[in-house]
Amino acid sequence: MDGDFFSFERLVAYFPKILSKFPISLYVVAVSTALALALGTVLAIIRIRKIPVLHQLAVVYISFVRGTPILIHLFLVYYGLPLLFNALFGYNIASGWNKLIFVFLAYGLNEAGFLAEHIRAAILSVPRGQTEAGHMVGLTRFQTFRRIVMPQAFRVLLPGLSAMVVGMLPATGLAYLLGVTDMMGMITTVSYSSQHSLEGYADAALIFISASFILERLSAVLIKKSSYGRKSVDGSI
Amino acid sequence: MNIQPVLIWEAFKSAVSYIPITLLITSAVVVIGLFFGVMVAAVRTYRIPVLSPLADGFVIAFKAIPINLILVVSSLLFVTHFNGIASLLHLTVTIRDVSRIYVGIFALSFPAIAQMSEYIRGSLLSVDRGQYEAGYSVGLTFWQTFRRIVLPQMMLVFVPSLTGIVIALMKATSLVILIGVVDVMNGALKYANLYFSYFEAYLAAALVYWGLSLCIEFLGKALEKRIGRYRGALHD
Amino acid sequence: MIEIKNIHKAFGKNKILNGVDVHVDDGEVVVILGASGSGKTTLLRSISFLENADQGTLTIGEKTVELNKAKKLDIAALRKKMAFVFQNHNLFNNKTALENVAEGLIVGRKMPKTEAVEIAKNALAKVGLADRHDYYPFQLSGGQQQRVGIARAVALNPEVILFDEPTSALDPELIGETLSLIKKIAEEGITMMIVTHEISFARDVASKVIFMDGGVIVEEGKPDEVLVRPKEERTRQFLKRILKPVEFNI
Repeated sequence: MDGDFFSFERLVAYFPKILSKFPISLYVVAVSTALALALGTVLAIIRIRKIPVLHQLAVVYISFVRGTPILIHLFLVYYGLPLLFNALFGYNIASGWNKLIFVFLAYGLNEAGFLAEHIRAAILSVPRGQTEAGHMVGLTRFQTFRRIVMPQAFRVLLPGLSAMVVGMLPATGLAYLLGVTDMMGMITTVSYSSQHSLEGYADAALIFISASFILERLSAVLIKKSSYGRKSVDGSI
Repeated sequence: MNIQPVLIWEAFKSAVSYIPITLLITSAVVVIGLFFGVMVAAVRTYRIPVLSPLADGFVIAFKAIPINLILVVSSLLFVTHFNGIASLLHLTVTIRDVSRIYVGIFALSFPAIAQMSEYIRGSLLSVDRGQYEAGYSVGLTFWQTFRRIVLPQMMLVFVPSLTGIVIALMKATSLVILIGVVDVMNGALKYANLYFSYFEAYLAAALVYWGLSLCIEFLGKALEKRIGRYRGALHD
Repeated sequence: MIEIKNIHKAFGKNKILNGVDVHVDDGEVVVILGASGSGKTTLLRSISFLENADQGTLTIGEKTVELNKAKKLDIAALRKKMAFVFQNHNLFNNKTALENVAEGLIVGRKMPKTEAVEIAKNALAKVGLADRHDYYPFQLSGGQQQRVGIARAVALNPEVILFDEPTSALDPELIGETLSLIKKIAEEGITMMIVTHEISFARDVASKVIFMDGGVIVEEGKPDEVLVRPKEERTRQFLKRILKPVEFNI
């Protein structure tokens, strides 16, 4: 076997270059999670209100997203969106758009399918009396939802949401398949001349592990902070 | 550039013919994941010295590393080792699909064990400490208590999540396309290059995976019903 | 003045209200008694539109609506004239005591924030919780929570406050303080409709007692008439059942 198979020097040399692409992963997680929260909430409300037709569509959408690989979602969006735009508006977006947009959309659409059920459960977990009290002090339906139900539902959602965000991070490692130069894409670039990519993968793995660890800690702190006084009794939060 | 149903159908037929490969990889990974997942979970739950920090590290690492990275690295290692061994034995065999399936199973096992152990641990912890104490108080040993009291209760929590894990692992097997295994995903894409029918191919693959997921869900529900039988009175 | 006419309400085949009429004059405290399932809570919830009544009209002041045909705007207008104290208080869990009381004023009534906070502080002081402004509901005891609930209702300065069994979710030792608080507020001349099981409280504060059974009003009148010399057999049975533990004590 080749003694030069794994070298510590290359591990160190690659590291900063690969790390420089880490923000892309965070970016993908942040934007797609925001998209997913919005779409997921809409899906959840459609399901809770049982709005005809839309309700059935939401059920099918959620089942589809949950039942098919994210790898396919990436490519369905990548190849499907231009087809859709072509059919609707008659122009081609395939070449003009930043590849990241497809990545955001694909991950956002995927996450929304999973989040919708979490959000639905979270909204339903807020007692009906909270809504009634909102109505009785003169808040409209929307105000009650926005000011009373949502903050409480979000607290219930938070553990599931943060677990999902942490889980999303490694999943972003597929973005390079659409031609985005993320960490995985960078490995190919840095190892091109030396033909040694193993160290690059090790670097990426280390970064992913550290990032997940930090994200997990952060979310634990966040969950603790959003307790509305459930834990401490002295009034100092 | 329009969607051509006939190409979806062609890709669908091709994808369906590779269902056995996807199922083979999935079930191998599930079995390996369950077997080692139980061990990792036990080591972590009962805090076995020396082993438990290792198990903690294993789970943290393999939940965080992208599965495609594990696959590519496994394949990389496999290629180098395989060539080394092959040349040592003066063989001229090349790496074929069959062997790559094993590489895929090997690679996917790591995240499978990590995920599986987390769920097993969660269901283990869901059984109240008092259940063990009650077991000891009527004279059962640890193993008897575990077998007869704890296990049936934790299964009630575990089996519903098992469905989710199996579906997730089945979906993850689609990544073996990255190391050249021909499964449902790759099968669907067989003619895509020829006709530039990528969208159709991915759609066909999606339909097949969706169908498989629904089947797994159905089987899971049936299993849940069987296991939860003694709880029937509570549910109905 | 509040005028409720001919309310009907059924949940599926289960008829809960079968034509109930209630008249409440300004400043009056009406206590509604009855066994569970008699429809007294549903009556309160129907006139506050928390349940959709099948039939009936509601008049508060100058405004009259048919309960089953009320538009969104009608409901909003009528709800502005009332406040509701829930059995399990239903304080907004994500808001502090002060925010709970001010929320309806600021968002519901569009009152300037400083003014609303001033009113809210006064209301909390009135219920004896001036030192608990920044406490979240989960940091308050059950009795304190219910007092915030009462402050929230009082702060809205409504034409009528509806109390739905305000003490039945409380620990026995907290019932007294809550009832005396309600009594204190009643003495300020606020119109009230109170659903409760507390007979002696009813005798104490009510200007009119209504006894309900089977979704209709069986008997109504001055507390001494209904509670001491009931005319109807069903009222007598109910009082006998509910007063029994007291007799044992004597």
